[in-house]
Amino acid sequence: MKKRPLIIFCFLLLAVGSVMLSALCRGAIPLSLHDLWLLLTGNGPAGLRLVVVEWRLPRVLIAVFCGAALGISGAIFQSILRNPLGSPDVLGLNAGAFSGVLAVMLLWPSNLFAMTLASLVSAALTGAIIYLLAWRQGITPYRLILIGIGIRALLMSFNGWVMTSTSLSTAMSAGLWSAGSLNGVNWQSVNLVFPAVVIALLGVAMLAKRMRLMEMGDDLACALGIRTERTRLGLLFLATLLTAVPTAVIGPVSFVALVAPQIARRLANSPSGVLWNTALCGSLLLLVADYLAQHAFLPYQLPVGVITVSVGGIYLLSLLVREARRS
Amino acid sequence: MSLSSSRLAARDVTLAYDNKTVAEQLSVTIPDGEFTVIIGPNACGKSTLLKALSRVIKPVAGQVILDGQAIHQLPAKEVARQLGLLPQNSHTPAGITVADLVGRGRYPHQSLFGGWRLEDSQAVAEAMAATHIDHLADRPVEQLSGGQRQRVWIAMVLAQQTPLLLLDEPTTWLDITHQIELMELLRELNQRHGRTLVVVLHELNQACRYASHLIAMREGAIIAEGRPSEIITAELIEQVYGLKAVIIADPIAGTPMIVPVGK
Repeated sequence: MKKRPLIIFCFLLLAVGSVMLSALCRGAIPLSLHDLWLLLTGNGPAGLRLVVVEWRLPRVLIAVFCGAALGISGAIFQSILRNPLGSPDVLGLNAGAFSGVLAVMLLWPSNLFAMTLASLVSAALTGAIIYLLAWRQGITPYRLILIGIGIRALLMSFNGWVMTSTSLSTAMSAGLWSAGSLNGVNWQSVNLVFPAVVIALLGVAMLAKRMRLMEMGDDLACALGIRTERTRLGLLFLATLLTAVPTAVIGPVSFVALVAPQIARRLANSPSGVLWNTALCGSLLLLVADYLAQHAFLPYQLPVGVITVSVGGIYLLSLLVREARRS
Repeated sequence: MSLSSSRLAARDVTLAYDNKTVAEQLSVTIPDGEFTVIIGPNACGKSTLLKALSRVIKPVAGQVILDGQAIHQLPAKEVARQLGLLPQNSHTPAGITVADLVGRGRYPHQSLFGGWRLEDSQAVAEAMAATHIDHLADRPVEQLSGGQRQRVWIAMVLAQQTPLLLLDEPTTWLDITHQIELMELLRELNQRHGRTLVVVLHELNQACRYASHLIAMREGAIIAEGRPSEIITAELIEQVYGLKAVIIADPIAGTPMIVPVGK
Protein backbone atom coordinates (compact mmCIF):
# COMPACT_ATOMS: atom_id res chain seq x y z
CA MET A 1 0.00 0.00 0.00
CA LYS A 2 1.19 3.49 -0.70
CA LYS A 3 1.67 6.17 1.90
CA ARG A 4 -1.53 8.17 1.56
CA PRO A 5 -3.94 5.19 1.52
CA LEU A 6 -2.05 3.77 4.48
CA ILE A 7 -2.46 6.97 6.48
CA ILE A 8 -6.16 7.02 5.64
CA PHE A 9 -6.40 3.37 6.61
CA CYS A 10 -4.96 4.12 10.06
CA PHE A 11 -7.18 7.17 10.44
CA LEU A 12 -10.30 5.16 9.57
CA LEU A 13 -9.24 2.36 11.91
CA LEU A 14 -8.91 4.90 14.71
CA ALA A 15 -12.30 6.41 13.88
CA VAL A 16 -14.00 2.99 13.84
CA GLY A 17 -12.35 2.13 17.15
CA SER A 18 -13.45 5.29 18.89
CA VAL A 19 -17.04 5.10 17.63
CA MET A 20 -17.12 1.47 18.80
CA LEU A 21 -15.96 2.51 22.24
CA SER A 22 -18.44 5.35 22.59
CA ALA A 23 -21.25 3.10 21.33
CA LEU A 24 -20.33 0.61 24.05
CA CYS A 25 -20.26 3.28 26.75
CA ARG A 26 -23.31 5.31 25.81
CA GLY A 27 -26.84 4.22 26.61
CA ALA A 28 -29.49 4.17 29.32
CA ILE A 29 -26.68 3.10 31.65
CA PRO A 30 -23.66 5.29 30.79
CA LEU A 31 -20.23 3.84 31.45
CA SER A 32 -16.74 5.25 31.74
CA LEU A 33 -13.89 3.72 29.74
CA HIS A 34 -12.56 2.31 33.00
CA ASP A 35 -15.88 0.54 33.70
CA LEU A 36 -15.86 -0.78 30.18
CA TRP A 37 -12.35 -2.16 30.57
CA LEU A 38 -13.33 -3.93 33.78
CA LEU A 39 -16.41 -5.43 32.15
CA LEU A 40 -14.66 -6.63 29.03
CA THR A 41 -11.91 -8.28 31.06
CA GLY A 42 -14.53 -10.25 32.98
CA ASN A 43 -14.87 -8.12 36.11
CA GLY A 44 -17.65 -5.84 37.25
CA PRO A 45 -21.27 -6.46 38.20
CA ALA A 46 -23.11 -9.22 36.33
CA GLY A 47 -26.05 -6.97 35.48
CA LEU A 48 -23.80 -4.51 33.71
CA ARG A 49 -22.03 -7.33 31.92
CA LEU A 50 -25.34 -8.44 30.53
CA VAL A 51 -25.95 -4.96 29.14
CA VAL A 52 -22.52 -4.49 27.63
CA VAL A 53 -21.35 -7.97 26.63
CA GLU A 54 -24.69 -9.47 25.65
CA TRP A 55 -26.49 -6.41 24.24
CA ARG A 56 -24.18 -3.60 23.22
CA LEU A 57 -21.12 -5.56 22.08
CA PRO A 58 -22.86 -7.79 19.51
CA ARG A 59 -24.69 -4.76 18.15
CA VAL A 60 -21.42 -2.89 17.65
CA LEU A 61 -19.71 -5.92 16.10
CA ILE A 62 -22.63 -6.49 13.75
CA ALA A 63 -22.45 -2.86 12.65
CA VAL A 64 -18.73 -3.26 11.92
CA PHE A 65 -19.02 -6.55 10.00
CA CYS A 66 -22.19 -5.71 8.10
CA GLY A 67 -20.95 -2.22 7.23
CA ALA A 68 -17.69 -3.65 5.88
CA ALA A 69 -19.54 -6.35 3.95
CA LEU A 70 -21.93 -3.85 2.36
CA GLY A 71 -19.10 -1.47 1.49
CA ILE A 72 -17.06 -4.18 -0.23
CA SER A 73 -20.14 -5.49 -2.01
CA GLY A 74 -20.78 -2.01 -3.38
CA ALA A 75 -17.14 -1.64 -4.41
CA ILE A 76 -17.29 -4.90 -6.37
CA PHE A 77 -20.48 -3.94 -8.19
CA GLN A 78 -19.17 -0.48 -9.00
CA SER A 79 -15.95 -1.96 -10.33
CA ILE A 80 -17.61 -4.62 -12.47
CA LEU A 81 -20.17 -2.19 -13.86
CA ARG A 82 -17.68 0.69 -14.13
CA ASN A 83 -20.43 2.93 -12.82
CA PRO A 84 -20.80 4.62 -9.44
CA LEU A 85 -24.52 3.82 -9.49
CA GLY A 86 -23.92 0.09 -9.71
CA SER A 87 -24.60 -0.87 -6.13
CA PRO A 88 -26.58 -3.85 -4.84
CA ASP A 89 -29.41 -1.66 -3.53
CA VAL A 90 -29.87 0.14 -6.85
CA LEU A 91 -29.81 -3.20 -8.68
CA GLY A 92 -32.49 -4.68 -6.45
CA LEU A 93 -30.46 -7.38 -4.73
CA ASN A 94 -31.63 -6.04 -1.36
CA ALA A 95 -35.22 -6.16 -2.49
CA GLY A 96 -34.66 -9.70 -3.75
CA ALA A 97 -33.13 -10.77 -0.46
CA PHE A 98 -36.09 -9.23 1.33
CA SER A 99 -38.51 -11.28 -0.76
CA GLY A 100 -36.80 -14.45 0.42
CA VAL A 101 -36.81 -13.32 4.05
CA LEU A 102 -40.45 -12.37 3.76
CA ALA A 103 -41.30 -15.86 2.55
CA VAL A 104 -39.48 -17.42 5.50
CA MET A 105 -41.11 -15.01 7.94
CA LEU A 106 -44.49 -16.26 6.80
CA LEU A 107 -43.53 -19.94 6.96
CA TRP A 108 -41.05 -20.26 9.87
CA PRO A 109 -41.05 -17.06 11.89
CA SER A 110 -37.87 -16.13 13.82
CA ASN A 111 -35.56 -18.75 12.40
CA LEU A 112 -32.40 -16.77 11.78
CA PHE A 113 -30.56 -19.46 9.87
CA ALA A 114 -33.48 -20.10 7.54
CA MET A 115 -33.83 -16.35 7.01
CA THR A 116 -30.17 -16.00 6.10
CA LEU A 117 -30.32 -18.91 3.73
CA ALA A 118 -33.48 -17.58 2.09
CA SER A 119 -31.95 -14.13 1.81
CA LEU A 120 -28.86 -15.59 0.18
CA VAL A 121 -30.76 -17.80 -2.23
CA SER A 122 -33.22 -15.13 -3.30
CA ALA A 123 -30.50 -12.48 -3.67
CA ALA A 124 -28.47 -14.89 -5.81
CA LEU A 125 -31.58 -15.72 -7.81
CA THR A 126 -32.30 -12.03 -8.34
CA GLY A 127 -28.71 -11.50 -9.42
CA ALA A 128 -28.90 -14.43 -11.83
CA ILE A 129 -32.15 -13.18 -13.36
CA ILE A 130 -30.70 -9.69 -13.89
CA TYR A 131 -27.53 -11.18 -15.35
CA LEU A 132 -29.41 -13.45 -17.74
CA LEU A 133 -31.80 -10.72 -18.88
CA ALA A 134 -28.88 -8.35 -19.47
CA TRP A 135 -26.75 -10.96 -21.26
CA ARG A 136 -26.35 -10.44 -24.96
CA GLN A 137 -22.97 -11.95 -25.99
CA GLY A 138 -21.52 -10.39 -22.87
CA ILE A 139 -22.65 -7.80 -20.38
CA THR A 140 -23.01 -4.08 -20.94
CA PRO A 141 -22.93 -2.30 -17.58
CA TYR A 142 -25.63 0.17 -18.48
CA ARG A 143 -28.09 -2.51 -19.57
CA LEU A 144 -27.43 -4.43 -16.37
CA ILE A 145 -28.17 -1.35 -14.24
CA LEU A 146 -31.38 -0.51 -16.11
CA ILE A 147 -32.65 -4.07 -15.89
CA GLY A 148 -31.67 -4.11 -12.22
CA ILE A 149 -33.71 -0.99 -11.54
CA GLY A 150 -36.68 -2.58 -13.33
CA ILE A 151 -36.38 -5.82 -11.37
CA ARG A 152 -36.07 -3.83 -8.15
CA ALA A 153 -39.34 -2.00 -8.82
CA LEU A 154 -41.03 -5.31 -9.56
CA LEU A 155 -39.75 -6.92 -6.36
CA MET A 156 -40.64 -3.91 -4.22
CA SER A 157 -44.24 -4.03 -5.36
CA PHE A 158 -44.28 -7.78 -4.80
CA ASN A 159 -42.92 -7.33 -1.28
CA GLY A 160 -45.49 -4.63 -0.61
CA TRP A 161 -48.28 -6.88 -1.80
CA VAL A 162 -47.12 -9.77 0.39
CA MET A 163 -46.96 -7.49 3.41
CA THR A 164 -50.46 -6.11 2.94
CA SER A 165 -51.95 -9.57 2.57
CA THR A 166 -50.50 -11.20 5.71
CA SER A 167 -51.61 -11.01 9.30
CA LEU A 168 -51.07 -7.74 11.11
CA SER A 169 -48.35 -9.02 13.44
CA THR A 170 -46.29 -10.58 10.63
CA ALA A 171 -46.67 -7.43 8.57
CA MET A 172 -45.55 -5.35 11.55
CA SER A 173 -42.41 -7.36 12.16
CA ALA A 174 -41.67 -7.55 8.44
CA GLY A 175 -42.19 -3.80 8.15
CA LEU A 176 -39.86 -3.14 11.05
CA TRP A 177 -37.28 -5.47 9.57
CA SER A 178 -37.60 -3.91 6.12
CA ALA A 179 -36.63 -0.49 7.49
CA GLY A 180 -33.29 -1.98 8.49
CA SER A 181 -32.47 -2.11 12.16
CA LEU A 182 -29.84 -3.40 14.54
CA ASN A 183 -32.33 -3.79 17.35
CA GLY A 184 -32.39 -7.33 18.62
CA VAL A 185 -29.10 -8.55 17.19
CA ASN A 186 -27.30 -10.90 19.55
CA TRP A 187 -24.32 -13.23 19.61
CA GLN A 188 -26.21 -15.68 17.43
CA SER A 189 -26.24 -13.05 14.67
CA VAL A 190 -22.54 -12.38 15.18
CA ASN A 191 -21.74 -16.09 14.95
CA LEU A 192 -23.57 -16.21 11.66
CA VAL A 193 -22.25 -13.01 10.11
CA PHE A 194 -18.63 -13.20 11.20
CA PRO A 195 -17.58 -16.43 9.42
CA ALA A 196 -19.56 -15.61 6.29
CA VAL A 197 -18.02 -12.17 5.99
CA VAL A 198 -14.49 -13.38 6.73
CA ILE A 199 -14.70 -16.15 4.12
CA ALA A 200 -16.13 -13.77 1.53
CA LEU A 201 -13.45 -11.17 2.25
CA LEU A 202 -10.72 -13.80 1.82
CA GLY A 203 -12.23 -14.58 -1.58
CA VAL A 204 -12.28 -10.90 -2.42
CA ALA A 205 -8.64 -10.55 -1.35
CA MET A 206 -7.76 -13.29 -3.84
CA LEU A 207 -9.65 -11.65 -6.68
CA ALA A 208 -8.97 -7.98 -5.86
CA LYS A 209 -5.99 -7.59 -8.16
CA ARG A 210 -7.84 -9.22 -11.06
CA MET A 211 -10.83 -6.99 -10.39
CA ARG A 212 -8.66 -3.88 -10.68
CA LEU A 213 -7.21 -5.09 -13.97
CA MET A 214 -10.65 -5.84 -15.39
CA GLU A 215 -11.57 -2.19 -14.85
CA MET A 216 -9.27 -1.44 -17.80
CA GLY A 217 -11.47 -3.47 -20.13
CA ASP A 218 -12.05 -7.15 -20.76
CA ASP A 219 -9.74 -7.44 -23.76
CA LEU A 220 -6.75 -6.04 -21.95
CA ALA A 221 -7.45 -8.05 -18.79
CA CYS A 222 -7.72 -11.20 -20.89
CA ALA A 223 -4.45 -10.39 -22.64
CA LEU A 224 -2.81 -10.01 -19.23
CA GLY A 225 -3.78 -13.59 -18.45
CA ILE A 226 -7.08 -13.24 -16.61
CA ARG A 227 -10.05 -15.52 -17.26
CA THR A 228 -12.49 -12.65 -17.35
CA GLU A 229 -15.93 -14.31 -17.36
CA ARG A 230 -14.95 -16.72 -14.61
CA THR A 231 -13.46 -13.95 -12.47
CA ARG A 232 -16.52 -11.77 -12.98
CA LEU A 233 -18.84 -14.58 -11.95
CA GLY A 234 -16.76 -15.25 -8.83
CA LEU A 235 -16.80 -11.57 -7.91
CA LEU A 236 -20.55 -11.31 -8.47
CA PHE A 237 -21.10 -14.32 -6.24
CA LEU A 238 -18.99 -12.84 -3.45
CA ALA A 239 -20.68 -9.44 -3.79
CA THR A 240 -24.09 -11.11 -3.58
CA LEU A 241 -23.02 -13.01 -0.47
CA LEU A 242 -21.74 -9.79 1.10
CA THR A 243 -25.11 -8.14 0.50
CA ALA A 244 -27.35 -11.07 1.36
CA VAL A 245 -25.86 -11.93 4.76
CA PRO A 246 -26.20 -8.43 6.23
CA THR A 247 -29.68 -8.12 4.71
CA ALA A 248 -30.80 -11.30 6.45
CA VAL A 249 -29.54 -10.13 9.82
CA ILE A 250 -30.25 -6.40 9.91
CA GLY A 251 -32.62 -5.88 7.00
CA PRO A 252 -32.11 -4.04 3.73
CA VAL A 253 -29.92 -1.14 4.89
CA SER A 254 -29.59 1.08 1.85
CA PHE A 255 -26.84 3.33 0.61
CA VAL A 256 -23.90 2.04 2.66
CA ALA A 257 -22.91 -0.06 -0.35
CA LEU A 258 -23.41 2.91 -2.65
CA VAL A 259 -21.61 5.53 -0.61
CA ALA A 260 -18.75 3.74 1.17
CA PRO A 261 -16.67 3.00 -1.98
CA GLN A 262 -17.14 6.58 -3.18
CA ILE A 263 -15.93 8.05 0.09
CA ALA A 264 -12.96 5.69 0.22
CA ARG A 265 -11.95 6.57 -3.33
CA ARG A 266 -12.26 10.29 -2.71
CA LEU A 267 -10.25 10.07 0.49
CA ALA A 268 -7.41 8.10 -1.07
CA ASN A 269 -7.41 9.86 -4.43
CA SER A 270 -5.82 6.76 -5.97
CA PRO A 271 -7.10 3.26 -6.74
CA SER A 272 -4.47 1.37 -4.76
CA GLY A 273 -5.52 -0.08 -1.43
CA VAL A 274 -8.99 1.41 -1.74
CA LEU A 275 -10.79 -1.86 -1.08
CA TRP A 276 -9.77 -2.14 2.59
CA ASN A 277 -10.50 1.51 3.17
CA THR A 278 -13.91 0.89 1.65
CA ALA A 279 -14.55 -1.83 4.21
CA LEU A 280 -13.62 0.55 7.03
CA CYS A 281 -15.74 3.35 5.55
CA GLY A 282 -18.70 0.96 5.44
CA SER A 283 -18.16 -0.02 9.07
CA LEU A 284 -17.82 3.59 10.12
CA LEU A 285 -20.95 4.65 8.21
CA LEU A 286 -23.11 1.93 9.73
CA LEU A 287 -21.67 2.46 13.23
CA VAL A 288 -22.30 6.20 13.11
CA ALA A 289 -25.74 5.78 11.56
CA ASP A 290 -26.70 3.30 14.26
CA TYR A 291 -25.26 5.54 16.97
CA LEU A 292 -27.34 8.45 15.69
CA ALA A 293 -30.41 6.24 15.32
CA GLN A 294 -30.09 5.23 18.97
CA HIS A 295 -29.04 8.41 20.65
CA ALA A 296 -29.64 11.47 18.51
CA PHE A 297 -33.42 11.55 18.57
CA LEU A 298 -34.16 10.54 22.16
CA PRO A 299 -36.64 9.60 23.45
CA TYR A 300 -37.26 8.03 20.02
CA GLN A 301 -35.11 5.27 18.61
CA LEU A 302 -35.11 5.19 14.84
CA PRO A 303 -34.34 2.17 12.66
CA VAL A 304 -30.80 2.61 11.31
CA GLY A 305 -32.13 2.26 7.78
CA VAL A 306 -34.00 5.54 8.13
CA ILE A 307 -30.73 7.35 8.84
CA THR A 308 -28.80 5.73 6.00
CA VAL A 309 -31.65 6.33 3.56
CA SER A 310 -31.87 10.01 4.40
CA VAL A 311 -28.11 10.59 4.36
CA GLY A 312 -27.66 8.37 1.30
CA GLY A 313 -30.59 9.92 -0.53
CA ILE A 314 -29.00 13.34 -0.39
CA TYR A 315 -25.71 11.88 -1.54
CA LEU A 316 -27.33 9.95 -4.40
CA LEU A 317 -29.08 13.08 -5.57
CA SER A 318 -25.85 15.06 -5.67
CA LEU A 319 -24.13 12.18 -7.49
CA LEU A 320 -26.89 12.05 -10.11
CA VAL A 321 -26.80 15.80 -10.61
CA ARG A 322 -23.04 15.73 -11.09
CA GLU A 323 -23.18 12.76 -13.50
CA ALA A 324 -25.92 14.50 -15.48
CA ARG A 325 -23.92 17.72 -15.71
CA ARG A 326 -20.83 15.86 -16.85
CA SER A 327 -22.48 14.01 -19.72
CA MET B 1 12.53 -15.29 -44.19
CA SER B 2 11.75 -18.89 -43.49
CA LEU B 3 8.46 -20.07 -42.09
CA SER B 4 10.24 -22.26 -39.55
CA SER B 5 11.20 -19.22 -37.48
CA SER B 6 7.72 -18.40 -36.30
CA ARG B 7 6.33 -18.72 -32.81
CA LEU B 8 2.82 -17.49 -33.53
CA ALA B 9 0.46 -18.62 -36.26
CA ALA B 10 -3.23 -19.11 -37.02
CA ARG B 11 -4.23 -22.33 -38.76
CA ASP B 12 -7.50 -22.49 -40.69
CA VAL B 13 -9.31 -20.34 -38.16
CA THR B 14 -12.94 -19.34 -38.52
CA LEU B 15 -13.70 -16.20 -36.55
CA ALA B 16 -17.18 -14.97 -35.68
CA TYR B 17 -19.01 -12.43 -33.50
CA ASP B 18 -22.71 -12.77 -32.69
CA ASN B 19 -23.05 -15.62 -35.22
CA LYS B 20 -21.70 -13.26 -37.87
CA THR B 21 -18.68 -14.83 -39.52
CA VAL B 22 -15.78 -12.44 -39.90
CA ALA B 23 -13.23 -14.81 -41.41
CA GLU B 24 -13.27 -18.40 -42.63
CA GLN B 25 -10.39 -20.84 -42.96
CA LEU B 26 -7.86 -18.10 -42.40
CA SER B 27 -4.22 -19.04 -41.97
CA VAL B 28 -1.45 -16.62 -41.14
CA THR B 29 2.11 -16.96 -39.89
CA ILE B 30 3.77 -14.20 -37.90
CA PRO B 31 7.50 -14.13 -38.74
CA ASP B 32 9.77 -13.79 -35.68
CA GLY B 33 11.71 -10.58 -35.21
CA GLU B 34 9.79 -8.73 -37.91
CA PHE B 35 7.66 -5.61 -37.77
CA THR B 36 4.41 -6.96 -39.20
CA VAL B 37 1.66 -4.52 -40.10
CA ILE B 38 -1.87 -5.60 -41.00
CA ILE B 39 -3.81 -3.28 -43.31
CA GLY B 40 -7.24 -3.48 -44.88
CA PRO B 41 -10.55 -1.60 -45.08
CA ASN B 42 -12.89 -1.23 -42.12
CA ALA B 43 -14.52 -4.45 -40.95
CA CYS B 44 -12.13 -6.66 -42.95
CA GLY B 45 -11.38 -8.65 -39.80
CA LYS B 46 -7.94 -7.30 -38.91
CA SER B 47 -8.80 -6.44 -35.30
CA THR B 48 -10.62 -9.73 -34.92
CA LEU B 49 -7.57 -11.57 -36.21
CA LEU B 50 -5.39 -9.73 -33.70
CA LYS B 51 -7.73 -10.68 -30.88
CA ALA B 52 -7.71 -14.31 -31.96
CA LEU B 53 -3.91 -14.32 -32.13
CA SER B 54 -3.77 -12.98 -28.58
CA ARG B 55 -6.24 -15.51 -27.10
CA VAL B 56 -8.85 -12.84 -26.39
CA ILE B 57 -11.42 -14.46 -28.65
CA LYS B 58 -11.63 -18.15 -29.39
CA PRO B 59 -11.90 -19.26 -33.01
CA VAL B 60 -15.11 -21.13 -33.91
CA ALA B 61 -12.94 -23.58 -35.84
CA GLY B 62 -9.21 -24.02 -36.37
CA GLN B 63 -6.45 -23.11 -33.95
CA VAL B 64 -4.00 -20.41 -33.01
CA ILE B 65 -0.60 -21.91 -32.35
CA LEU B 66 1.96 -20.46 -29.94
CA ASP B 67 5.29 -22.31 -29.79
CA GLY B 68 3.75 -25.39 -31.37
CA GLN B 69 0.83 -25.62 -28.92
CA ALA B 70 -2.81 -24.59 -29.20
CA ILE B 71 -2.96 -21.20 -27.49
CA HIS B 72 -6.32 -21.84 -25.83
CA GLN B 73 -4.97 -24.92 -24.09
CA LEU B 74 -2.02 -23.08 -22.55
CA PRO B 75 -2.37 -21.48 -19.11
CA ALA B 76 -3.60 -17.89 -19.55
CA LYS B 77 -0.78 -16.37 -17.50
CA GLU B 78 1.88 -18.29 -19.36
CA VAL B 79 0.58 -16.95 -22.66
CA ALA B 80 0.58 -13.45 -21.15
CA ARG B 81 4.30 -13.79 -20.42
CA GLN B 82 4.99 -14.47 -24.10
CA LEU B 83 2.50 -12.25 -25.83
CA GLY B 84 1.21 -8.77 -25.04
CA LEU B 85 -1.80 -7.02 -26.56
CA LEU B 86 -2.80 -3.40 -26.60
CA PRO B 87 -6.49 -3.40 -27.58
CA GLN B 88 -8.27 -0.40 -29.05
CA ASN B 89 -10.60 0.44 -26.21
CA SER B 90 -9.07 0.48 -22.77
CA HIS B 91 -10.43 2.32 -19.78
CA THR B 92 -8.22 4.46 -17.59
CA PRO B 93 -9.07 3.71 -13.95
CA ALA B 94 -10.02 6.89 -12.08
CA GLY B 95 -7.16 8.59 -10.28
CA ILE B 96 -4.44 6.13 -11.32
CA THR B 97 -0.89 7.42 -11.73
CA VAL B 98 1.35 6.69 -14.71
CA ALA B 99 3.69 4.43 -12.72
CA ASP B 100 0.76 2.48 -11.25
CA LEU B 101 -0.84 1.92 -14.64
CA VAL B 102 2.44 0.79 -16.20
CA GLY B 103 2.96 -1.49 -13.20
CA ARG B 104 -0.26 -3.33 -13.98
CA GLY B 105 1.52 -4.85 -16.96
CA ARG B 106 3.52 -6.90 -14.46
CA TYR B 107 0.49 -8.99 -13.48
CA PRO B 108 1.44 -12.11 -15.50
CA HIS B 109 4.79 -12.22 -13.70
CA GLN B 110 3.33 -12.05 -10.21
CA SER B 111 2.04 -14.82 -7.98
CA LEU B 112 -1.33 -14.74 -6.22
CA PHE B 113 -0.22 -13.04 -3.00
CA GLY B 114 3.33 -12.20 -4.07
CA GLY B 115 4.34 -8.65 -3.53
CA TRP B 116 6.10 -6.17 -5.75
CA ARG B 117 9.66 -7.27 -6.52
CA LEU B 118 12.79 -5.48 -7.64
CA GLU B 119 12.53 -6.88 -11.15
CA ASP B 120 9.01 -5.48 -11.41
CA SER B 121 10.30 -2.01 -10.58
CA GLN B 122 13.09 -2.44 -13.12
CA ALA B 123 10.69 -3.55 -15.84
CA VAL B 124 8.44 -0.56 -15.16
CA ALA B 125 11.39 1.85 -15.17
CA GLU B 126 12.69 0.40 -18.46
CA ALA B 127 9.27 0.58 -20.07
CA MET B 128 8.81 4.19 -19.02
CA ALA B 129 12.29 5.10 -20.22
CA ALA B 130 11.72 3.44 -23.61
CA THR B 131 8.49 5.38 -24.11
CA HIS B 132 9.98 8.62 -22.70
CA ILE B 133 7.43 9.05 -19.96
CA ASP B 134 9.69 8.62 -16.90
CA HIS B 135 9.23 12.28 -15.94
CA LEU B 136 5.46 11.72 -15.78
CA ALA B 137 5.65 8.76 -13.35
CA ASP B 138 3.64 10.33 -10.52
CA ARG B 139 1.13 12.23 -12.65
CA PRO B 140 -2.49 11.05 -12.86
CA VAL B 141 -3.03 9.49 -16.30
CA GLU B 142 -6.32 11.39 -16.73
CA GLN B 143 -4.45 14.70 -16.78
CA LEU B 144 -2.17 13.75 -19.69
CA SER B 145 -2.58 14.64 -23.36
CA GLY B 146 -3.74 12.01 -25.85
CA GLY B 147 -0.23 11.39 -27.11
CA GLN B 148 1.22 10.97 -23.65
CA ARG B 149 -1.62 8.74 -22.61
CA GLN B 150 -1.10 6.45 -25.57
CA ARG B 151 2.58 6.15 -24.65
CA VAL B 152 1.55 5.21 -21.11
CA TRP B 153 -0.57 2.36 -22.46
CA ILE B 154 2.28 1.20 -24.64
CA ALA B 155 4.60 1.34 -21.65
CA MET B 156 2.15 -0.85 -19.77
CA VAL B 157 2.33 -3.51 -22.48
CA LEU B 158 6.13 -3.14 -22.61
CA ALA B 159 6.38 -3.71 -18.86
CA GLN B 160 4.80 -7.08 -19.55
CA GLN B 161 8.18 -7.88 -21.21
CA THR B 162 6.80 -10.20 -23.84
CA PRO B 163 8.83 -11.20 -26.90
CA LEU B 164 5.64 -10.83 -28.98
CA LEU B 165 3.75 -7.55 -29.03
CA LEU B 166 0.36 -7.01 -30.69
CA LEU B 167 -1.06 -3.51 -31.06
CA ASP B 168 -4.49 -2.60 -32.41
CA GLU B 169 -4.44 0.81 -34.15
CA PRO B 170 -2.12 2.44 -31.64
CA THR B 171 -1.94 5.69 -33.61
CA THR B 172 -5.68 6.44 -33.65
CA TRP B 173 -6.52 9.72 -31.88
CA LEU B 174 -2.94 10.95 -32.20
CA ASP B 175 -1.85 13.94 -34.26
CA ILE B 176 0.70 13.39 -37.02
CA THR B 177 3.70 14.31 -34.88
CA HIS B 178 2.75 11.83 -32.19
CA GLN B 179 1.93 9.22 -34.81
CA ILE B 180 5.42 9.41 -36.28
CA GLU B 181 6.97 9.48 -32.82
CA LEU B 182 5.09 6.33 -31.92
CA MET B 183 6.02 4.55 -35.16
CA GLU B 184 9.69 5.42 -34.56
CA LEU B 185 9.38 4.05 -31.04
CA LEU B 186 7.89 0.80 -32.36
CA ARG B 187 10.67 0.48 -34.93
CA GLU B 188 13.21 0.96 -32.17
CA LEU B 189 11.54 -1.75 -30.09
CA ASN B 190 11.67 -4.06 -33.06
CA GLN B 191 15.20 -3.34 -34.23
CA ARG B 192 17.03 -2.62 -31.00
CA HIS B 193 15.13 -4.84 -28.57
CA GLY B 194 14.28 -7.59 -31.04
CA ARG B 195 10.58 -7.70 -30.25
CA THR B 196 8.27 -9.28 -32.77
CA LEU B 197 5.55 -6.75 -33.55
CA VAL B 198 2.11 -7.17 -35.07
CA VAL B 199 0.37 -3.83 -35.55
CA VAL B 200 -2.98 -3.03 -37.13
CA LEU B 201 -2.75 0.32 -38.93
CA HIS B 202 -5.05 2.47 -41.02
CA GLU B 203 -2.43 4.81 -42.43
CA LEU B 204 -1.09 3.09 -45.53
CA ASN B 205 1.98 5.21 -46.07
CA GLN B 206 3.11 4.73 -42.48
CA ALA B 207 2.45 1.01 -42.85
CA CYS B 208 4.67 0.87 -45.94
CA ARG B 209 7.35 2.96 -44.35
CA TYR B 210 7.73 1.11 -41.06
CA ALA B 211 6.61 -2.46 -41.76
CA SER B 212 9.15 -5.10 -42.64
CA HIS B 213 6.30 -7.50 -43.32
CA LEU B 214 2.94 -6.33 -44.60
CA ILE B 215 -0.33 -8.27 -44.57
CA ALA B 216 -3.19 -6.91 -46.69
CA MET B 217 -6.66 -8.19 -45.78
CA ARG B 218 -10.08 -7.91 -47.34
CA GLU B 219 -13.32 -9.53 -46.18
CA GLY B 220 -11.62 -11.88 -43.77
CA ALA B 221 -9.05 -13.16 -46.23
CA ILE B 222 -5.39 -12.36 -46.80
CA ILE B 223 -4.93 -10.88 -50.27
CA ALA B 224 -1.17 -10.41 -50.17
CA GLU B 225 1.76 -10.49 -47.77
CA GLY B 226 5.46 -9.74 -47.91
CA ARG B 227 7.81 -6.75 -47.90
CA PRO B 228 5.90 -3.57 -48.72
CA SER B 229 8.18 -2.83 -51.69
CA GLU B 230 7.47 -6.28 -53.09
CA ILE B 231 3.70 -6.40 -52.74
CA ILE B 232 2.36 -2.85 -52.95
CA THR B 233 1.06 -2.12 -56.44
CA ALA B 234 -1.76 0.01 -57.79
CA GLU B 235 -3.62 -3.24 -58.59
CA LEU B 236 -3.36 -4.47 -55.01
CA ILE B 237 -4.66 -1.19 -53.59
CA GLU B 238 -7.59 -1.31 -56.01
CA GLN B 239 -8.27 -4.94 -55.14
CA VAL B 240 -8.11 -4.40 -51.35
CA TYR B 241 -9.68 -0.97 -50.99
CA GLY B 242 -11.51 -0.46 -54.31
CA LEU B 243 -9.49 2.74 -54.65
CA LYS B 244 -7.62 4.00 -57.71
CA ALA B 245 -4.15 5.09 -56.69
CA VAL B 246 -0.71 5.84 -58.02
CA ILE B 247 2.30 4.36 -56.28
CA ILE B 248 5.39 6.52 -56.01
CA ALA B 249 8.53 6.23 -53.90
CA ASP B 250 8.44 7.91 -50.50
CA PRO B 251 10.89 10.82 -50.95
CA ILE B 252 12.47 10.19 -47.52
CA ALA B 253 12.40 6.44 -46.98
CA GLY B 254 12.13 5.20 -50.56
CA THR B 255 9.29 2.88 -49.54
CA PRO B 256 6.06 2.72 -51.60
CA MET B 257 3.78 5.70 -51.16
CA ILE B 258 0.13 5.51 -52.11
CA VAL B 259 -1.40 8.59 -53.70
CA PRO B 260 -5.17 8.27 -54.29
CA VAL B 261 -6.40 9.39 -57.70
CA GLY B 262 -9.92 10.40 -56.67
CA LYS B 263 -12.53 11.32 -59.25
